[in-house]
Amino acid sequence: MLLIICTLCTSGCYVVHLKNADGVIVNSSDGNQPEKIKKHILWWGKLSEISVSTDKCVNSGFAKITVKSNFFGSMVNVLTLGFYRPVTIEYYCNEPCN
Amino acid sequence: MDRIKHTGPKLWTNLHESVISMTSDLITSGNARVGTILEKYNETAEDIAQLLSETLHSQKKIRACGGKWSITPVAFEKTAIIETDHLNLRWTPTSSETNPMIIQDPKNLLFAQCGAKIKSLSIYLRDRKKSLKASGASNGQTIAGAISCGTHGSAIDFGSIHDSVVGLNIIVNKNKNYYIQRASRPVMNETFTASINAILINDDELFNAAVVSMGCFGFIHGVMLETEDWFMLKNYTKNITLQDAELLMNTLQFDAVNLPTGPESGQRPYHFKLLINPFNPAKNPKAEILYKKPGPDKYIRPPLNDGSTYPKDALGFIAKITQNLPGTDKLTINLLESSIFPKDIDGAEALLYDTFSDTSLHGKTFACAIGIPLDKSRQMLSALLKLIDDHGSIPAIFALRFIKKSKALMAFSRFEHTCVFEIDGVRNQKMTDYINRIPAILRQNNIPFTFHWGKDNPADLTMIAEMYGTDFPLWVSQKSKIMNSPEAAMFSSEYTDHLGLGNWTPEYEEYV
Repeated sequence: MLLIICTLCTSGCYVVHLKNADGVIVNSSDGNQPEKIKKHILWWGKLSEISVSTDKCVNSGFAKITVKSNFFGSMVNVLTLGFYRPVTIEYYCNEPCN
Repeated sequence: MDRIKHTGPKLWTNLHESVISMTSDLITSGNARVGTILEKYNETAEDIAQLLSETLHSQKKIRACGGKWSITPVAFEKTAIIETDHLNLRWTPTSSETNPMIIQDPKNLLFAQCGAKIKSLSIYLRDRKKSLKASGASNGQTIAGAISCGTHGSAIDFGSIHDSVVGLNIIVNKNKNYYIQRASRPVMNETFTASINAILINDDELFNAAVVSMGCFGFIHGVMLETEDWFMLKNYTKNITLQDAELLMNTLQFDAVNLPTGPESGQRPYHFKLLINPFNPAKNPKAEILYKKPGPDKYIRPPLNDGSTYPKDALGFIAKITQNLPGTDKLTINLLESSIFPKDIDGAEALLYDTFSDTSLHGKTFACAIGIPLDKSRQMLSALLKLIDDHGSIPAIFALRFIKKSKALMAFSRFEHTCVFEIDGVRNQKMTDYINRIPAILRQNNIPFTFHWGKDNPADLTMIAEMYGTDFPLWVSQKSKIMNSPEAAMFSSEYTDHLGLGNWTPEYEEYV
């Protein structure tokens, strides 16, 4: 029971981390960590392409990318039969190359 | 100078979200994109010197910030913070730059710019079949941040990361770019210091003061580290008997116990750590016992999953639960003990780099680490368990790590062998109240103590003087060798002033 309550209290429905095993996370060029993008995924994911300039990561790419969806996002996704899902994408810059 | 950017007022947060406050100017920094590595380093040094001169001229303060791992506000300053984690150059010096009487193989040296992260340096070294001598429990700290606050692991016969430092490049102002090393062990020669346009200072006391200095001895731009051939760590993570644990925590006499570590039983390990559930102290505690083995010809990385290396900040998970369900700390810790503590490992081998790897979770955790003499560990455990009985339960676990004494004047590992008694848990008022009661308990029990500079602690100026004795005024006095009073004020902050670390006394002539 405790675990069920805990799960409900702490869950964000899902979080996916894609990590570069040898990546070294640093702040972006304007001092943020991570950079956040809120994205509306439409048409069952067909309109989900996201282009991100690597300027903020000083052209060194990403050390980690996290995709998060909360309880509200999952509920909307179910109600729209998968047509729409809001997600938050966070990216962490990799250290600049020498 | 466009590599230094003033981004203006910003909300500054450290990794564990224990400090969330506005700074008037968040400054980002970076190296030039073109040029040789030395040219880039020296151009950045000029940028930093210029920035410091401007800051001094405007009578402001400035604080360098690295990986934001410190839980205390030691990296925070409300006037200006300079982010350094893009300053990540590193290279191996040549034999013409070293003193051959001191160091035979310059490949065992690594010069790292301040913002290079431990992980980044470990990758550089791994690719050359070399290794750092010690690491913290994870790898996200910058090298300057890690040494400045005394980041340590549990290398029982070596010490902390700062104990492998053999030189510091410190910038104070436009005309004050120093390379400081011990006179008793001058590893580098003037060819090297000339290449980075620095004034060479060989001075044991100054070096021992500056190497752990909480940002108060100027801007540490470069750190010379002594490294070694890569080595494997054979990991046994298992429950050991309470009797053996109690003997080891006070003596580290591994030949007097019978550990479940196969052929290594009886040998002295490289690393030893005990994890104790304070709500079930009679249970056999979990121990991490790592034996050092020669590095392989060819290294095959272990599978990259959380279970293969180290407990991945499980307290972040407990924090989430107990913050949402207050009053359940004892129950939660007892229920989740097996998740909090690392899984059993029976002899798996990995490099230091893969053993103390990434931490995946972070958040509002509370962490306190108290340094005490080794032979007081058992007494300390009893006293803190009794304090829980008197105070009420706390959402925390205990861990004991062990490190050799450091030569650094203000290293919190100041006992011949220091037991680092860690109280890791959830950030709430009950934890703060518990920690605040600890100094009085230790005094009652005649246990000398120190607190980790980067972790939660109740210290103030009086307590710093009590903990460090004559080393504290000696540390303060060393500042006058490289900086005047206004410069010392520039490198202080509200937090360092509270601890008396911002003090300056006119004891010596400056090295200029």
